[in-house]
Formats: sequence, C-alpha cells, structure tokens
Amino acid sequence: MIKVSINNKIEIFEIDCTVQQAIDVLGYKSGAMLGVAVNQIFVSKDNWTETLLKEGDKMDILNPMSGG
Amino acid sequence: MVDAMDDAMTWAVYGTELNSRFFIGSALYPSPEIMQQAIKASGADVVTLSLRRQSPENKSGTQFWDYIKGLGCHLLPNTAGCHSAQEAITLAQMSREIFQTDWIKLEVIGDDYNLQPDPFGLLEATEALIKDGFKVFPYSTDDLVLCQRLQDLGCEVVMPWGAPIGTGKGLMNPYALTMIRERLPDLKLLVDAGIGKPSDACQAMELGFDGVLLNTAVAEAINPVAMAGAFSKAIEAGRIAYSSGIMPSHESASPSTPIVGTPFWHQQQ
Repeated sequence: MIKVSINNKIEIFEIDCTVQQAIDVLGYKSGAMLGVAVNQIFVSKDNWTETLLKEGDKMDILNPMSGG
Repeated sequence: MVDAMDDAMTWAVYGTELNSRFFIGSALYPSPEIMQQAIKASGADVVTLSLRRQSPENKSGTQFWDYIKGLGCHLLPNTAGCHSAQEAITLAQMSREIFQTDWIKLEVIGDDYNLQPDPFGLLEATEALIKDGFKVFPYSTDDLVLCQRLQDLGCEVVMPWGAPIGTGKGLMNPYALTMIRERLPDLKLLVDAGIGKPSDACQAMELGFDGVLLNTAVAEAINPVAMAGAFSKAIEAGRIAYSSGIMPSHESASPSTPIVGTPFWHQQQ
C-alpha cells in the first residue's frame, strides 16, 4: 500500500495505483470536469491511465470554480 | 461620431472579435442566479473563472459550470492564488484542458497583504506559457517597464491594476496608467482590479484603456444586476469619450457663451 496526499488529505492506495484508478476510488464521477497535477506537475487526462502514483506523492484534483 | 460609437462596441483580442470592453468576474455573488443575471446585464463577452480543490461529494463545481456554460461567453480562467511561476504554469495547463481555451489570466502574487503581482514570477511564467502556446492576459502592476517587458515577450494585452484586488479604491495612480498608455500605444490594455465605482471604470476608458476587468464592485453591490448595467454604460461612455477626443484642460476660464453682443455692461464703457 502507498500513502498519497490528495488535495492535502492522506489517502491509501494499492501499489501501482494509477491516477485514473485513484480518481475512481475516491468517487469522482466519470466525465466530471477535473484537472490533475501530481507534485505540482500537470498530468493530462490522456495520461491518467498510465501515470503511476508513488509513496508520498502529492496529487491535486481541481474543479471549475468562480473567480475574478 | 458614428465611427466613435462603433469603435466603442467592437474590438479584437488575440484574433477574437469582442462586442464589449467589459470583462467580468464570476465570484462573490449572493447566488449563482444573481451571478448569471449580472453577467447578462453587463453585456460582457468575457467571464473570468478559476479551478479549485473540491471533494467528490461536493457538487458545487458542477453546478457552477452549468450556470457559466449557459452564458455563451468566452472563458478567461485565472491563476489566482499562485505564488510562483511553476504553480501558475501548472494551473494554466490544467485550465486549458478543462476549459478548452488557450486564454489565461495570469496571476503570480508576490505579497499576500495587498495581493500585489510578483513582476519576476510574472515574466518567468509569461515566457514559459507563451512558448507553450498560451494567449496570456497578465495581471500586472502599473509599472511601465514591466508592461513593456510583457509586451516584448509576446503579450498582445496587459492588465495593470487600478488598485489592489477588492479594495474598490479606483485608479490609485492615473499618472502611471496614462504613461503606460502613451508609451505603449500598440499594446491592448485593461485595468484589472481595484475598480469601485462606474466612474472609476469610465476614467480608465477615458485614459485610453481598451477595457476593464472587474468583479467585486458588481458582485458586492446591493443590487449586482443593476450595478453590472451601470458599469456597462460607464465603460461604453468612457470609450466613446476617448475616441471622440477629450478637450485639453486649461488653467484660466474661457467663456462658452459668445462675447459678441453681450448686453448692458460692455456698452456702458
């Protein structure tokens, strides 16, 4: 198992968990408008299924929000 | 005069024709419904928005998006809250994928107290994003040299502040803004932030700025929908005034009523 920080909250995943699997496990709806960065590096949606998470990674999952 | 009126309505940024010079924010409204009504009342073609962390059970992001997409406006995602070039670059890349636009309102904050842009991080991020194909709308201070450097990097538009974000203080340094306008005549300029009253927006347009970006002054009005309309009229009036040629000011009085034919006292001499 690995510990990964998701939006600043520690979550536990299986080893070799991909970004896509983490998103599914966390309960984000399929087709939701999400942007992902791992360790402050953008991960395109095209690469979610092949990007592996590692112990100690910090992943940000963002949604549209109001802004000025 | 007809040309001045037409010019007030239509212009282009990064090859996109716009029918308003008002860029409006989507934050701080009392409700999503009022946000939607205010944006419609503003007549703005461009709406700013952002990305934020949300848990999967929080549906507010989806709801917000439903309100925004129905407006049919061009989207200008921001990098609000970023304190380094790398943070801003990453957020811009995420925004491009989600919102399907290469426009980015680039904010790199250097000081948390007055939310002043970091000029060095701003230049670093601008250079990287332009190389990556972005159309950058940098939020800058009113420093002439910084605006020049942003233009040199390839920005077609720069957005100096009128005053710190959310203060409503209006144009704190009209001299600096005027100097930027005069020294960089080919650069498209919007005043971004600090506008409090429609007259502030009108003043920016009278200085020759191409547009105004604001949020708080509308969203925190008692009647945001009516205030959005007031700002729309002020921005248009200011632009028409600028295009029409504002008279120079003079130190001494000059009568507007003709002297010739003045009754009474002149004849008594």
